[in-house]
Amino acid sequence: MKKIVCVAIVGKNNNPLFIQDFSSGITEENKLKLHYIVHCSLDIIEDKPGPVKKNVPSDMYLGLLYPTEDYKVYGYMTNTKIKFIIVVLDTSDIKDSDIKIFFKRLQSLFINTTSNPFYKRNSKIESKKFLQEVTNLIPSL
Amino acid sequence: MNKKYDKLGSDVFNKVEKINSELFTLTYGALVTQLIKDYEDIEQVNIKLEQMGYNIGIRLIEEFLAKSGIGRCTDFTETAEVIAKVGFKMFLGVTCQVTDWDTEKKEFHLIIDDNPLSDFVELPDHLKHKLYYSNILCGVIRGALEMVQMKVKCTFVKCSLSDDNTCSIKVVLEEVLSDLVPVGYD
Repeated sequence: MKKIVCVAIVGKNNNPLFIQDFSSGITEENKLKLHYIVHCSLDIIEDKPGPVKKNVPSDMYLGLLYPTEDYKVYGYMTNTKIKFIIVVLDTSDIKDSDIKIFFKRLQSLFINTTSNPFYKRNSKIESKKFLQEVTNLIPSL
Repeated sequence: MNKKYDKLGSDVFNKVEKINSELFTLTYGALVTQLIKDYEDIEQVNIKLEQMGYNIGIRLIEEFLAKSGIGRCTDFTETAEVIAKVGFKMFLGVTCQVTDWDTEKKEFHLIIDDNPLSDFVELPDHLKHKLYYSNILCGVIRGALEMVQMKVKCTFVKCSLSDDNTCSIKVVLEEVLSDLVPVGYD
């Protein structure tokens, strides 16, 4: 049973680079709802406090951003302000460490795709190969 | 004969200095995209890559002969094996296979399984089958062989970036240049 409903990657200027729904019964209305949830989570990420002390490195994993009635949203932000957001079903009980591992793998797939010299920085990721790889990664959570 | 060159290739590879492969791949990628921006015609880009490769090849051959210690090859088949097993291994860290010899033993195909130049690269659709991304390799082979008195023509037959399974270069021996007497001697 796929637990992940949606994966989104958002760039520095809060522009979406990649957003894909993975749930089985996806309707047009659901799609919009998921996009809206991702959008709201961006606001929450901005509200998160920045690095407080100079000595403590701020963790890239942002944790549970906010729970809605059906879903939970997790976030991960790199130092280059690229944000990875995943939406999972509320019923699933996933450990934080698993989510972190998933984010790390997602990040490495992202790096492979953006290292393509033909990929224009900060533009939408159109690569079918990337979509395929993310789809294959989903069941691992 | 194959095992001897495999082993020689590995030995030489272990002795040479190495750099980070991602840096190399990204540098080459930046080079190709810049060429595409500068020359809008893709054919021109292919020609330029080949010329650049030629300039690299004529210099690379000295380094290759010095580090590998290989003497003269007895025939063209041996040359092919040396390029695939020792040359590619030494400079790119990968070995290739030599296949598809013609009847006169004057042309062969070089199959590269894991081309490090094209890691992470995905060609946009309008460039597939037009741009030979690793064309620099054709130039390198041509330049290097010209310095050892062989005039060859190298072309890309298949490219894994254009949806083919592997990377395949066709090498055709055009003529063996005789050792020319330097000007000034009788």
